[in-house]
Order: sequence, then C-alpha cells, then structure tokens
Amino acid sequence: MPALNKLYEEYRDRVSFLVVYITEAHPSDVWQMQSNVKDKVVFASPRTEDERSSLAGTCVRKLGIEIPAVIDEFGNSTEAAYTAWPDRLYLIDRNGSVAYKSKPGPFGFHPDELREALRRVVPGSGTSSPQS
Amino acid sequence: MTAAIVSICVIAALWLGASAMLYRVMRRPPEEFGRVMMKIPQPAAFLVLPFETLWLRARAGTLAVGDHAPDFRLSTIDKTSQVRMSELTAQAKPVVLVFGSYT
Repeated sequence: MPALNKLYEEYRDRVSFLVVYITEAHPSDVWQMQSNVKDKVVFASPRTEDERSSLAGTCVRKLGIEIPAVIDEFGNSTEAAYTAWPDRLYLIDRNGSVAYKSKPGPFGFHPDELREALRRVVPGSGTSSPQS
Repeated sequence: MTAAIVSICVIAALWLGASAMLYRVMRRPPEEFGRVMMKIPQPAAFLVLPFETLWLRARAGTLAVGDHAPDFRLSTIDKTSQVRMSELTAQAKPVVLVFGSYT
C-alpha cells in the first residue's frame, strides 16, 4: 500500500485514483490464513451492507490508504466485471479503455508495473523520462 | 517394470485430475473457492499442484487491454456520496483502480 499511496501523491493532479473495497480474501469463517492470525487481522465475512462498510472503513484506516475508497455492493458485481478478487490493479485511459490490467493477485499485484503503465499513459510523467 | 509404469501413470492421472479440479474451483465465485480451499491440506497442495500457474489462468478474466472499462456506481466508505466510473472517465483523465480487501 505505501507504493500506491506514493503513486497517488505523484499523479493525483493528472490521474483519478479509486480504491474499490471488494469481498474479503481470507475471512476467519472461510479461508483463514495463519499470517493474518499472526498480524491479528481476523475478521468474519460481513453479513450485511453495514458490516461490510464498517470493515471497509477499518481496512482503509489500518492500511493507511490515502486514496478515496468505495465499497463494492453485496452482490459483488464490480468485482465480477473486473475479475478483481482477491486484489488487482487497473489503469483506464482518458477514453475509458483499459490501458493496463495486472495479473490477478496476490501473485500479480505489482505497483511497479502500474508505475510503468502510468509513465506510458500520462504524458511527461516520471522523473526518469523528462518532458522534452 | 510394468508395475512401475502403471504407478507412474496412476500418479500422473491423479495429479492431472486434481489440477483440473482445482482449476475449476478457482473459476467459481470467491467465497465458494475459499470454502473448498479450507478443506484442502496446506501447504501440501500448494507444493504438489501448480497453484500459481492455474490461478493466473483461471482468474485471467474477460477484460482485455483496449476494452471499454465496465461502468459502476458505488458508495464511498462513509456512505455520504457515490462514485460513478463513467463520470470519472468523463473528466478526460486516466483512472487508476485498486481492488482489494483487508484480509
């Protein structure tokens, strides 16, 4: 998450950023991970919209997410449309077309790739490729 | 000799079968997949089966680079307002979407 906050700070004037909180990857009642138990990140699946938004709020606070965040609705329609679970990154260009789509997380979640994609899509961005 | 060949074939068939089943489960909705994974011995299954390869394929998804980004309208965390994807792209700025959860 720090890498994404950093990109947000760098690009927020030229690019819109949005975190979409989707259905939990490893809730305690479905597929508990020992690493989460160690980190005390233990939560059951939210059963109502209110529980989901409360957990989403906790997620944003604890992970220190600075990017504006929205919550996928209970039917997970946005997750399904973007095949986003458990985590995934997208860059949509100014015409509304997909410019970069990461591989599915956790294996495919690489903010570095997103940084590369931003360099391609946003003119004159990045310190290593100065504007001519 | 024949026994050895037969057992290799049986192991290969079991491995392929298990991989195919895992692949099918990966394509199911997250919660269903999670409930199946709960019952699978770990990390043994991860070591024996090509989990990552199957995962990257099973979760590749239908959207491709160049496709129009599907619209959505979702509430902010504090529920005070809603964000619509098509309104974001209408600002003629690129949009970064970060999908994820806490656990």
